[in-house]
Amino acid sequence: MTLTLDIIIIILFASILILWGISLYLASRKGVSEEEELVVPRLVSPAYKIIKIMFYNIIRSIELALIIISLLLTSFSTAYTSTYLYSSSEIEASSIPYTYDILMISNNYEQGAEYVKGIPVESIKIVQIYNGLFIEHDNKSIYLLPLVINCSSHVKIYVGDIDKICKLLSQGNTAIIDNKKAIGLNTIFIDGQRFFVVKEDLSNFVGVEILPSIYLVHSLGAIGGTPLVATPTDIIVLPENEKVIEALCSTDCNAKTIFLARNSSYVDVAKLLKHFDLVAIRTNGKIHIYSPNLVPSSRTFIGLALSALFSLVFSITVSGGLAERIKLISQRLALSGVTYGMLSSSLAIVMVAILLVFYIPLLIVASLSGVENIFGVASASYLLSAAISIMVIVYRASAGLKVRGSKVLSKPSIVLNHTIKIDVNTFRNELEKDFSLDDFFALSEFEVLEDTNNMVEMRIELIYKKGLSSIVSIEIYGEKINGIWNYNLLADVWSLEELSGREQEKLVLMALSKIQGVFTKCITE
Amino acid sequence: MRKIHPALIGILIGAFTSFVNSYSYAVSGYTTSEISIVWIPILSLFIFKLLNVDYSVRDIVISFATAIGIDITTTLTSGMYITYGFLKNVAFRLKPFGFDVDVPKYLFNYGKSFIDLNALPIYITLAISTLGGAFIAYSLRSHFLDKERLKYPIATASAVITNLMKEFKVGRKFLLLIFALGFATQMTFFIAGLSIDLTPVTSMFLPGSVFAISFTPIVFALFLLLPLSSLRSFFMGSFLTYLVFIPIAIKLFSIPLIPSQTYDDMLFSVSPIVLGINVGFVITFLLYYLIKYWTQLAMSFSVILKFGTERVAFAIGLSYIAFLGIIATVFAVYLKPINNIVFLAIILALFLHLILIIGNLRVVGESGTGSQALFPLVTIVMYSLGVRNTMLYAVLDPYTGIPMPQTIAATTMNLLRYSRLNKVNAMETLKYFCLGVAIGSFITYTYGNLLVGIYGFNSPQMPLSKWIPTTVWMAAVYQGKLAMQSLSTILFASLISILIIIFNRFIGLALFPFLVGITLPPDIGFQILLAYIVKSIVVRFGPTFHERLIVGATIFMLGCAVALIANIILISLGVASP
Repeated sequence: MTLTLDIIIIILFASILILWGISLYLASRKGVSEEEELVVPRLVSPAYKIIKIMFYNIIRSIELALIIISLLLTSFSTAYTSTYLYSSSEIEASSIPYTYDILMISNNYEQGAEYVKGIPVESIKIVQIYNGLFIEHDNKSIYLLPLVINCSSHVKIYVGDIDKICKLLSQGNTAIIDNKKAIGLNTIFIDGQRFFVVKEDLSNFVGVEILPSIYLVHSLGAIGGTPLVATPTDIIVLPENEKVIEALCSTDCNAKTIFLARNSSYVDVAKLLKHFDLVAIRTNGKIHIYSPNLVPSSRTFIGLALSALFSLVFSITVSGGLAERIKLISQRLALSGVTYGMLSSSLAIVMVAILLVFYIPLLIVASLSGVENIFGVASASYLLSAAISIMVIVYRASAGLKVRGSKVLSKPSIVLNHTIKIDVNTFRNELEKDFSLDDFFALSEFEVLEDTNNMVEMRIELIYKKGLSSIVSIEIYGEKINGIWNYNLLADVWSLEELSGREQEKLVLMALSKIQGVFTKCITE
Repeated sequence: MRKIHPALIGILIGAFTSFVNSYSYAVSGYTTSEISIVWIPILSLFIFKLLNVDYSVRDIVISFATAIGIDITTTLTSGMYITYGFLKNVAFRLKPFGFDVDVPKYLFNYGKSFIDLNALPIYITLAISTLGGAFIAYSLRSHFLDKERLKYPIATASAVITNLMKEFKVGRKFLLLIFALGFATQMTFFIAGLSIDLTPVTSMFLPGSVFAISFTPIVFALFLLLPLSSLRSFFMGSFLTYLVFIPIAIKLFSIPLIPSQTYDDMLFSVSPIVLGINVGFVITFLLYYLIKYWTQLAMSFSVILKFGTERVAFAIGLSYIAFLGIIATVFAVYLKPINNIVFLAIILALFLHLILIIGNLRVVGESGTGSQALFPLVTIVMYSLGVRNTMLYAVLDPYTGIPMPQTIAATTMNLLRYSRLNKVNAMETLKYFCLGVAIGSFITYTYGNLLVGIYGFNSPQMPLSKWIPTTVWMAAVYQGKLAMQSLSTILFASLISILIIIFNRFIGLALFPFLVGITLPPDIGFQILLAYIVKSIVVRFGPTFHERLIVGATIFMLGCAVALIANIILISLGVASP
């Protein structure tokens, strides 16, 4: 019996199930239980009260009202006077063959050339239809992508063999396929309509680049710079008439329409962009590409910057009194133990909440004002200026409270020297007694790793009661050198909380000092 | 109070969540798989209480392990089955563009029968082989959890909230309010999605840059669970890549760009450049990590060899990975004329799998989510060595193919951390996880078949248009259509990454989350920035507020998940559009 691939796959399937069974059997006999503490703090936080205090003090201040009014006015005025441009870019025309003066591309099927009426142009219309056509021939099914061309007016567009192709299509019942396609086809039927098939060299025609990586022929886009373009042998060129379009595009039409136009007079780009997804104008060796996306002009950006600057100056001017009052409250709170972090954050939260509430009227006015595209710039101006005002106030009100502490220890460790060796059991008992009463830490683990005449090694794990899974682990290395016992206490912190370096240091210092206390008590008794 | 075996409850829950994920992925592209670790234990608790079953903490962990084993197979079987189905279906449409993709019957051959028996053996085999990652994670758990002290934030958040929910320590009104808020915001998003495409604006100043603003409630809530340092690295990675590195690469290597593209089109166009940048960074960062932690890793490996259980687990893990190699070799021999390069590619890929398992464990431990950031390295290596066989990619490539041992390893580690915090035996947890994966692969494979059978590839509920970018991308890789500029981009990215490592002392950037950030598109980066700002304010209020944020974000996500389910029901009834 030969080993076909199917049989091998069944063997592999069985093998993996056996392997799985074996591994499960080996796994189920052993294992230990490792444990970790999950500590969740049960504290009442004063944060709500502090936020309330801040809120009542701020909301009743005249300064806040002034700031809000100034924010709304400047945002609205910046937005009202803002100007927009269609997003555009410019490229060198040298690499693109000259096939049009005006190029219009739509990502849908466009019916007629009404949109180009009123503009003295001559154009040729090319529709790329992405719903392929299945043609039965010789018991085989061939898949071709239709390219529908409408050479309506007498145009002088210099695109490869366009004249020849237009002439062939002018009869209305000719279909063209590439002459390199190796099938003998004379007639095809599309939805009952008969077409005579002619073979022509399509590669010159369809490979024409109209913009970087965009071709007359179908493409799926470009991936990393490499365009994914249809090969000429898979294209069928058809004339545009109602029946063809209905047959190809009945349900959903995945198509792109391209107009190549010649023109020697002025063109209203804005009008064109209302109907097309891309418009390109070729003049003087450059191609200007426009898309209907509106972007703020540079004047608008300058306006935004100015309004932000204004809000900076204004909030500094106006916030003096408010900042003083808040500072007074904050200082009193700080004496009770509220940290700088909590004060600045509660102030920030209150300001953000109030200013967000007043954002809503701006939105309503902006949408009712009837001015186009006002929403984006108004929001940007308001949010930027609000952020600046908040930063100014928070800084002025709480900067003085930031405690710049000095470092007590350069390393999280203590070295103690004594004449006697610590008794490990006494130490353990004292630790358990002391930490059972401690407010900040609980003793989680005590391990003795080594206990000889010349060396002692211990590990203590403390859980910080007031944190979210914060653990301090302290290792004690004791060594007898020249008759003196040298003890090295090293501490390390691990926490689920987002502790800053300073906060970690504080924890370490607190833990170390407590351990040192117990240690000294045991060794001197 | 009755007693039901917790594994049965786990199977029930796993079958449900994997169905939601399969269905949702096929129909709308969204899944709840990232948040499964958080919402599955809560579901278990809920079911236990509902059925009035007597349960202990161990029971919750076991049902969780089984359920997540089943749930994780969604990405391996049903997701990939549908993807390969689409690829096969569009193959004829891609032919005029020079693609000659061949999707062999072993990957997709849905025909008249209710279930595709041709592809079944391969999918199940590959899904179970992925368990190699789980066993390797188990053997290395001491290294990552005790030595490197990684947080695995999602698992810890999940443990915190299960703990609280068990005893209903949180106020009911608060819970209901947040749940309703989550449901409402996510439904609003489905009806009127918020998305502002800023690419036209940014590309006027920086050609090639990509940017958009959007807000997806479930994604935002997930990021609130992750540590601040990771969030900072995420959005910096994302913004730097899409606003700085890509425009520089385009300018430097004169990569032609189609003008005036939308956000989605640009993402598709620049995807090989992003890939190159990603691979460049991954290579440097991985090497840096291995060099820095060499002594610790070496010690951990020597410990593994000493302890019996860990040694056996590691050996089992390696044998599963080697099994992948055997499958790949079989296909290489039977489906194409062989040359030695292919074998080199297979061996390199297996070696990389092992390295990337370790790397992914580190990434997920630090940042909470791995997001397939490390995987493209395998794709590029196989691609550069000239592998052009669809089946080989399907077997060996975690990025475009079926098995993902790295993701399974990370999920296992999350699970082990969860079981530690609940004081449950790690080996037992692993056992039920393996059980879940094996059963789940059959269940989710059936779901994939069901969806294909019911909807086909042309229905409005499973629209083809959503899948075109993915399938074209896969076709480009399998057919060798990626330009060589990728290589220069990789070198360019490696140089920048070396600079970042050198300056890291002053910047203080978490390196591995930065890698994940590179793969995140800028609209997600924007949401991460928002989450970072919100979290950094809330955290200053102290640990109680931090805990409340975790609880609130989780309940919010639950509300969003229910909205997701409601939305897919509406889509299947034809009321809503995907």
